[in-house]
Amino acid sequence: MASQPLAQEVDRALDGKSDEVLITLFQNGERDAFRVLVQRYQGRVKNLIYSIFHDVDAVDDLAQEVFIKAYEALPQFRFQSSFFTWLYRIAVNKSRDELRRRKIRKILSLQALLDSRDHELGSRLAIEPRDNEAQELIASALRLLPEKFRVALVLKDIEGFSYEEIADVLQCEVGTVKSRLFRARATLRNILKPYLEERT
Amino acid sequence: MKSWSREEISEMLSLYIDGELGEQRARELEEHLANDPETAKELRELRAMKGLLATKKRLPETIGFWTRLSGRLERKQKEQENLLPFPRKYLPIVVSAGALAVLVVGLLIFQQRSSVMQYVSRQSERVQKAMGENLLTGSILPLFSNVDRNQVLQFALFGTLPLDAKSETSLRVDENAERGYTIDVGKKAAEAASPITVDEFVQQVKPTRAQRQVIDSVLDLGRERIERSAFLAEDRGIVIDPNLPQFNRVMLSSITASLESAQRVRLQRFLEKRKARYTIEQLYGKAEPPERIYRDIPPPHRNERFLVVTPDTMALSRLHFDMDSLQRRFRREVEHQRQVSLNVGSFIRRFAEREAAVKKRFSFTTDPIRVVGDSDVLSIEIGTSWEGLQSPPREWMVKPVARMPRGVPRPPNGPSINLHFGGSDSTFYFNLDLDSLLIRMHNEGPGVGFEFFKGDPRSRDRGMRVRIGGNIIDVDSLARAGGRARAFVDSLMKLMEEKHQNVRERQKRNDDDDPLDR
Repeated sequence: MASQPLAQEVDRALDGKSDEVLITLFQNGERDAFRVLVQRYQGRVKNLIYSIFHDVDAVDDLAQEVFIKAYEALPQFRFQSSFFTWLYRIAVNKSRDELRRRKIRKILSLQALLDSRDHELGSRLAIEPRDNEAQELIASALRLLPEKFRVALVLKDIEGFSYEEIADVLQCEVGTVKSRLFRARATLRNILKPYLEERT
Repeated sequence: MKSWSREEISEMLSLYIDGELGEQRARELEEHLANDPETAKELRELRAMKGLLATKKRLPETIGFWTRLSGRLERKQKEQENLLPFPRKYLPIVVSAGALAVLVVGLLIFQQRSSVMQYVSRQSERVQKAMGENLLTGSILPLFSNVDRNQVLQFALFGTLPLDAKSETSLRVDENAERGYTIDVGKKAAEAASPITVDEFVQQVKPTRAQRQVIDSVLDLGRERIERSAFLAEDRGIVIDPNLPQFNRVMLSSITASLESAQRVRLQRFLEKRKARYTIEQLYGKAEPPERIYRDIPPPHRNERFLVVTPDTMALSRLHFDMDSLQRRFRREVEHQRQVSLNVGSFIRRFAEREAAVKKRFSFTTDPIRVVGDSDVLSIEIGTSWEGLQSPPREWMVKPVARMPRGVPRPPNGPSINLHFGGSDSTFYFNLDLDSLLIRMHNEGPGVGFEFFKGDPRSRDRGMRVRIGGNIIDVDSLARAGGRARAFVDSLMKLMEEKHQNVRERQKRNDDDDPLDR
C-alpha cells in the first residue's frame, strides 16, 4: 500500500508547522492540515468538555461535533484570534448547548447558595477523601456550580488560561471574567468548606 | 492598615492567587494578611482549592478519534452535495412512487389527462425547489428569536406568540378535544393576544423563591423550544414543529406541578380572571420535585420531523437547523421582526391566492393534517389520531377551557384522493380535491399525448396501460388490489365522469352565450 507511507510523510511534513500555517494550507485545499490540527488539539478539547460535563460517555461525541463545526467554519477563519481560543469558543458553546439540552438547570442559584449559609451541601460532600476520591469530590463540587462560573473556573484553574484568553473564549470583558472567577471560587469554597477546613 | 469589606477582600484574594492583583494592592493585601487570621485562612483555602483543580484527572487518549471524525465529515459533505430533501438513494423510489401516484389520479380522471400529471409534478417540483433553495442553502429565518419569559408565559396561558412588535400578526396554537390541534399564523391569530408579565403572575400566585426558580427554568426551556419550532423559508414556505401546539399545555402543566395546593387555587383564580385557555384539572396535590418537572419537558429535538408548507403543497420532513448561525444572522431584533412580518404576510397572501384559484386543501385520512388559508391567516389542523404527535410527558395538570373560535372556515368535504410518497427523511402529501382538479383542468384545457386504458377486469395480470408519447407503461397494482379498492376506484370514476359531463355542459352553455362566437 503506497498510500500509508505517503500519509505518514504528509503528516511528518505538516507536524512541525504552526497553527496559522496549517490553517492557511487548509484554506488553500490541503485537507490533511486539518487532521494535524485535530491531533494537536483533540486532547485539550476533550478534557475541557470533560471538565464541564464529567461524563466520559459524552466527551467523544461532543468533541467530534466541535471539530465538525470547526471544519465547516475554518474556511472563514480570519486570524483575528488565536486558533486555540477560537476552537475553545466552539467547544464552550457546544457544551453550553448540550447542557441546555440536557436541562441541567440548577435548582439552587448562586445567590441562594450564598444567602442560605447552609452547610447542607458541604456536609453532603464532607466525606474523608482519599487521594483518588479528591477527584470525585472536585467533580461533584464543580457540577454544582452554575454553568458560566464553572466554565470560567475550568478555563482558569484547570486549563491554565490567562484572563485575556478566557475573555476571548467567552467573548466578554476581562472585568466579567474576574467577577465570574471570584463568584465561582466563593461558591466552590462554600461547597467544599468541610474538606478545605480539614486540609488547611 | 486599610479597611475593606469581606467581599472586597475575597475579590482581591481571587485576583491575588492568580497573580493579577497589581503590585501596590498586593502589598496592601499582604500587610492585611499578616494581621487578619480570617483572611489568611481564606487564602489558604483558596490555594488548596486551586491546587485541587490543577491536579484534576486528565482523560487518556482515545484511539480512532480521527477515523470516526473523518467518516462523519465525509458523510456530511455528501449530504451537503445532495440538495434533495431526502437521500439521493431514495430518488428512484420517490420518482416511481410519484409516477404511480400520477397514474392513479390519471385513472380516476382519465378524460382529463395530461394536466393532471403536470399538476402533480409541478407541485412536487415546487416543494422540492422551495426546500432545496431555502431550507438547505440557508436563506431561512427563525419565526421567533429573542423571545422573553413574559412572552413564553403568555404562550403557555393563551397559546399566542406575537410575530411583530405591535402584535399585529402572531402565531396561535389551539387545542380542541374533538378535532385536535390548530396552528394559526397571521393577522386574525393576533386578536386573542393579551399581554401578561411574569411579575404579575408571581404577585398573584406567590411562588416561593425556589419555586420561582423552577418556573423561570421551565420558561427558559420553553423559550428554547419555541425558538427551534418555527421557521420561514423566505415567502416560499413555512416550517413548523407539529408538536408545538401541545407544548404550551406541557409548560402550564409543569408550572402547575411545581405549586402547592393553595398556590394552585391562586393560579386557577388568575387563569379565570385573565380568561386563559386552560383550567387546572388537579387543584389539590403536593408540589413535584424540580428534577421530575425538568425531566418531563420534552427537549427541542435535533433532526426532528417538521411540517413544511409551501403555497402548493405540504411535506413532512426531517430537517436540521443550525440555530447558532441562524440566530447570529438575525441578532437585531427589529430587523428580524420586520422581515418575519413581511415574509409571513407575503407567504399567506401567496397561499390564499392559490387557495382562491384552486379550491385546494391538504387533508389526510390516515395522517390527518389539513392546511387551509385566507388572505389573513394560514391554518394548520392536526388531528389527535395523527401518529406523529408525541404522547404527553406527564399526566396533564390542566385542560383546555372551551372550544376556540377558528380563524379559517373549513372548506366543505368533497370527493378527493390522497397521494402520499417519500423516503425515510421526507414524506410528500398531496390531497387532490376532485372538484378543484376539474376547475383547474377546465381553466387550463386538456393536454395531449397522454392516454389511459383501463385494464380488462377479467384479466388479473394487467390493471391498466398508460401511453405517454411513444412509451407504454403497464401497471398491474390495481389488478392485485382487493375488491373494495376496485369498487372505490370505480365509484370515483363514475363520479368524475358525471362531474366532467357537468363541466362540459356548463362550458358549452358559456360558449353558446359568448357573443364573439355568434
